[in-house]
Amino acid sequence: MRFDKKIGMLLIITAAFLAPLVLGSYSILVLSEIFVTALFALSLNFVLGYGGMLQFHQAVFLGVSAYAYALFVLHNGSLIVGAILGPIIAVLFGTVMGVFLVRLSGIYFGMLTLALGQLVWAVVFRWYSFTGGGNGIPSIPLPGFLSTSTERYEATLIIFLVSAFLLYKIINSPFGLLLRATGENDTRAESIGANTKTIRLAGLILSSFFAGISGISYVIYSQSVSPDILYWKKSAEILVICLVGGIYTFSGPIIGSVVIVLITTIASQYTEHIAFILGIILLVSVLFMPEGIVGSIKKRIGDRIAADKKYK
Amino acid sequence: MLQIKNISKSFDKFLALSNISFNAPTGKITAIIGPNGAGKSTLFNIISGHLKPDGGKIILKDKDITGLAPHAISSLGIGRTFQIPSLFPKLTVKENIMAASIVHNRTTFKFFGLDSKSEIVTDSIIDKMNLSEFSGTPVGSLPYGVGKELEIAIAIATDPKLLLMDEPTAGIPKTEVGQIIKKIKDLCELENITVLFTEHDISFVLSIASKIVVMNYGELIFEGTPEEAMKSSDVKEIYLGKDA
Repeated sequence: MRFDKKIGMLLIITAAFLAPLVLGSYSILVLSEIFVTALFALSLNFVLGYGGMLQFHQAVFLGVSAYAYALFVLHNGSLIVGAILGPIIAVLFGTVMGVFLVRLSGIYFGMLTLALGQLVWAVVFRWYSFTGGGNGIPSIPLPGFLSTSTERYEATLIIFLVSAFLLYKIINSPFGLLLRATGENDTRAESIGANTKTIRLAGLILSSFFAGISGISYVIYSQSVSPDILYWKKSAEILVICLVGGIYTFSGPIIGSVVIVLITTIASQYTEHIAFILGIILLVSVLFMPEGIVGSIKKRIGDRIAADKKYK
Repeated sequence: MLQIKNISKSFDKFLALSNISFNAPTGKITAIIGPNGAGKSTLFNIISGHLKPDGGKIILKDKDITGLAPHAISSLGIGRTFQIPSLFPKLTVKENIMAASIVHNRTTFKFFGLDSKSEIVTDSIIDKMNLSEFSGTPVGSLPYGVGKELEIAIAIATDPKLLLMDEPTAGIPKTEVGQIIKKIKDLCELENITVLFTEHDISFVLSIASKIVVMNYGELIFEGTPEEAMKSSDVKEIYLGKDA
């Protein structure tokens, strides 16, 4: 079973790398969006599914990273340094917010993520002279090796694969086990001697780092930024993607991204009411597949979640 | 090992603990008995740092630990089990124990790879507690009794010098109580762990405790050996009932 899975994954990855040979430029762009979204969803699920924290405003970290790159490059900074700067800025925001957030739990935690996140959005939206306000920043320069659409596609694919691999490793590390334990039962984690506040803070910082990476991936994909990418709606969307895919599985958010991006892409050709469609998908998923697509399938075939496999 | 000095605690106007003092001698099993509402669990929560006392001190081997955070108290060598199993339900039995072992081994912030030392310790605890058949089972689907044993296994994984057990046999079928008692006794003797536990089943207490503390309505009414407890008229009247 394990062996078959590995071969299946290798086939999918190979196919993804070769996709530009057969698919048109529009399909390639949609696939890029899936990779950007999937990495962003994985970064959220790291704290949501594994850390048990109600992070309602993950988009902030994607947003500040993308803006950091755009603004740095716009002021004649080096493109590569800009790409490194993005995730660092995201981590900075994650750390400052995290210090306040870990003092709270449950819905209070969630409310504070929303409040702090919207504060950042408001600053970006209002500070016209610096951020371009509601217009955002169009046509952001990219390095020379990302000049064709195929190159940009391969870049988002590689960033996704490397980041997903790292996240998977972290979830299966000693820290990952303690993060999951803290997420499930904070009181018990404390009584085995775990400093749960520090563990949750480390989880938030790592999550903001990977969200920051997805912000760079987003700039490569769209070559522009606007305040929409750090508005609460963006965070709600990614939350829905995680829930629909399944938050107690590693691959859930990835599958959720594939399903939701494809459905919204197709639906947007016929209607403007995408939020309505997302709502229906969420409703159906919560009612009939409370553990998400991947969670329900795994339950059905009696499989254990991937992260649990390690310690059998 | 552990000294409780003049501990008091009230909730609003209700006095839950009134000036409680006693000690738990090193390497021995001390039992706190008393009817429901006597303040046993409140006292445990104060020792483990989940509640702060209004007055008094908790001394662990000459060190004042009163009011420290639960994780700090745990890392000083006090392990604890809960009356109603408080576990990590989505993790497997092995992962539950391993989490405690990792914290004790100070590899919590190891972000890649494995902690093989913790894994070895975990495997030996699983063996010792006869939990191997459940090793890979998510804890949420375990029978209640196994959950109680897992409680003990997790506490041992933190390598405690003092183990606090809140009603370790509560909710367990009478036929399985003997097995748990034997495990607690073995622990105390083989691993040299000091045990302080609460219980309401007096027969169980008499068979393993070398010291008994009796509480009623937040007050300490007796402290002594099981034999003395059986002779004490106060204990008979308040704890066992007037006819006993």
